[in-house]
Amino acid sequence: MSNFFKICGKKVELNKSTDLNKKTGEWIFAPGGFWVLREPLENGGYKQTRIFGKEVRNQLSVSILGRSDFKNSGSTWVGDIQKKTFGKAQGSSSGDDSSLTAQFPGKVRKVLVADGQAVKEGEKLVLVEAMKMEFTIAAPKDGQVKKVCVKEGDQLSPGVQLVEME
Amino acid sequence: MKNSTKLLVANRSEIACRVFQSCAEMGIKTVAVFAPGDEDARHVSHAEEIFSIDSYLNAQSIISVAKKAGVTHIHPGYGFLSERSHFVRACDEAGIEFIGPTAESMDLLGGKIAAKELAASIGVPTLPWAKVTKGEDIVAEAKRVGFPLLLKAAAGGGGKGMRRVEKESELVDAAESASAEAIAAFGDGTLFLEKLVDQPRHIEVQVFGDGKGFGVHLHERECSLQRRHQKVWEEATAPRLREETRRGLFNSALKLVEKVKYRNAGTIEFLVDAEEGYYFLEMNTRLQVEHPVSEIVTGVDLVRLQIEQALNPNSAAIKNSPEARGSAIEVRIYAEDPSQGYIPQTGQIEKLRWPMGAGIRVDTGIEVGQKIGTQFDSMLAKLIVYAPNRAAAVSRLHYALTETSILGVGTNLNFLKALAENENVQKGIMDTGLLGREFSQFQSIPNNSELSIIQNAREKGHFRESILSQASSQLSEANSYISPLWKGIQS
Repeated sequence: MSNFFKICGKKVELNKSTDLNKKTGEWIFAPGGFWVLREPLENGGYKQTRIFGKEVRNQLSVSILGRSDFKNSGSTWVGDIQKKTFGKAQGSSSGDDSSLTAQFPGKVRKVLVADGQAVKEGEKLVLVEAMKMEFTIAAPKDGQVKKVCVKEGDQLSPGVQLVEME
Repeated sequence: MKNSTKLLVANRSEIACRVFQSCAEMGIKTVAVFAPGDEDARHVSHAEEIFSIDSYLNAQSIISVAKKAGVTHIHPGYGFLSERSHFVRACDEAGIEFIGPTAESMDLLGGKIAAKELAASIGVPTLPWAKVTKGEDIVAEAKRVGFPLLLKAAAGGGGKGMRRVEKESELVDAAESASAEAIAAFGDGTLFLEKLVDQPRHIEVQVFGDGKGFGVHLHERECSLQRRHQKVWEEATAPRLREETRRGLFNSALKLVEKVKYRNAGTIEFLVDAEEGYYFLEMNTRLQVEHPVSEIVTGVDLVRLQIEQALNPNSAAIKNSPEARGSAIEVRIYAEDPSQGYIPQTGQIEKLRWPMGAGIRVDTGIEVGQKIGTQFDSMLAKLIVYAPNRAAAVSRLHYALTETSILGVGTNLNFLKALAENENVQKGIMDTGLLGREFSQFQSIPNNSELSIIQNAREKGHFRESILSQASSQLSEANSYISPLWKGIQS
């Protein structure tokens, strides 16, 4: 099983040393719709973590509530943590991982890379115009542009692939 | 109770819901309109009668619905038609009361240059500015305005022909290239010079006029935290502002209200520099998105006041400026990704949890099951907190954000939380460039501890639909129920 997440188009590795089985706490479904992880403390009490989460359309939407030691307390992300990255068919998702697709209707303003070009993480690939604003589509990681799938002036509908990377 | 009154809100989302709340409290009948894509929107289920229209910008379509429904008053909300004088005139012609200023005062204050000239003519401070046509002595005008300054195309907009000029030696070259760009874009090379304020604050004064030359102020709001020139965080009253400056802002604002005999709620925006010099920017002739913070610190229900003024136009709905107490902060919850240039996010609200408790108010336009597209503005809701002092309000905001969860669409909740943790924001040291300087690299990536907990829960199957739907079957029923009803009505 591969332990990584895809968050905001970026691959986030789960620390290898994190042993998931060490979390021996008990999960309780609490009124209000959240899961609570209760981990026993040495003094006889329990440490609590509240999670709000739902799996929708092969994607996971999660938020950890109310803990100041969590950077993402009260956070939400959706469409980022893909089911297939957890699934049993491991290794088959690498192509999907580096694909870049339009998330909303818009227009291609400028293509800044060419097929075969090597790019660094964060490097601008395509400029997209939507809702009167310009947005940058950047490389999610170091790599090579396999194919640019759009050209300047193309109308985009959600899901259209912009660039293939490898 | 004015039971013959029937009010249509020519708007959507949270502001429509806000007006409907006041109507319900006052015993006024309510009418909502909805455009394609908004069939499931929260505001549609909050009115007694609903009508479909083709667009929130189509004045004719809204007026004809209003006539059909026998509407007596129209509230425009903000945005859309709220500042279009032709819409006010169309309401007048149809014999429907427009809740807001007259078409004439909208015209007087609508154009930025005209409003500036009006302000200057009654002694309200404006930024030094000058208009220069090609061939005129730009250097002399620039010296009068002062450096650094901003060159803008007089005919323009959208940043075309705009140049920042630091000193005199850069002026001639910059003017030439700006003028050329302006000619290419607008066919007119006339330039407009304006003194540049470095790291300015955006402070605005809430006013309310009776339409006969009398008006009161409802204190100021600080709205300096902006992204893409759109406000994200607003508060009342402004922190770190001298009492003397405050008085000056109020006096200037009321001079304008008296001059144009302004009617109903309005906001006068100012730029404030580091020395607390202040300059008139523009007047917004409508209710603002951020009106709740003023409502809270003054104890005045602005929407109710707007409706009362429209019901009794011959008396002033408010006769004295109220005192301001405590501190209120509002943040705008947008469906957007702050780590990718605030790119709008789409989805469907799957789960929703609003914060509750002392000093927390939520004005929302969303419900569970609602689809979020890109047809409309990406603001989902406003979270407002209030506390006896500013420091307590900031920490209360942080608490409220960590108790909020919106699942099914990406939001800026983490970004807002990071703002509440920022040292300068906590100290109240803010200017309009702060977000651009300190948050351009913002990333909302969970740490390993969070990831491992999520992964652990995922492996145990806790997020699977089947488990959740067993545990909360009521929620699932509500989810599947919404759409078919509205689809039937619309067709």
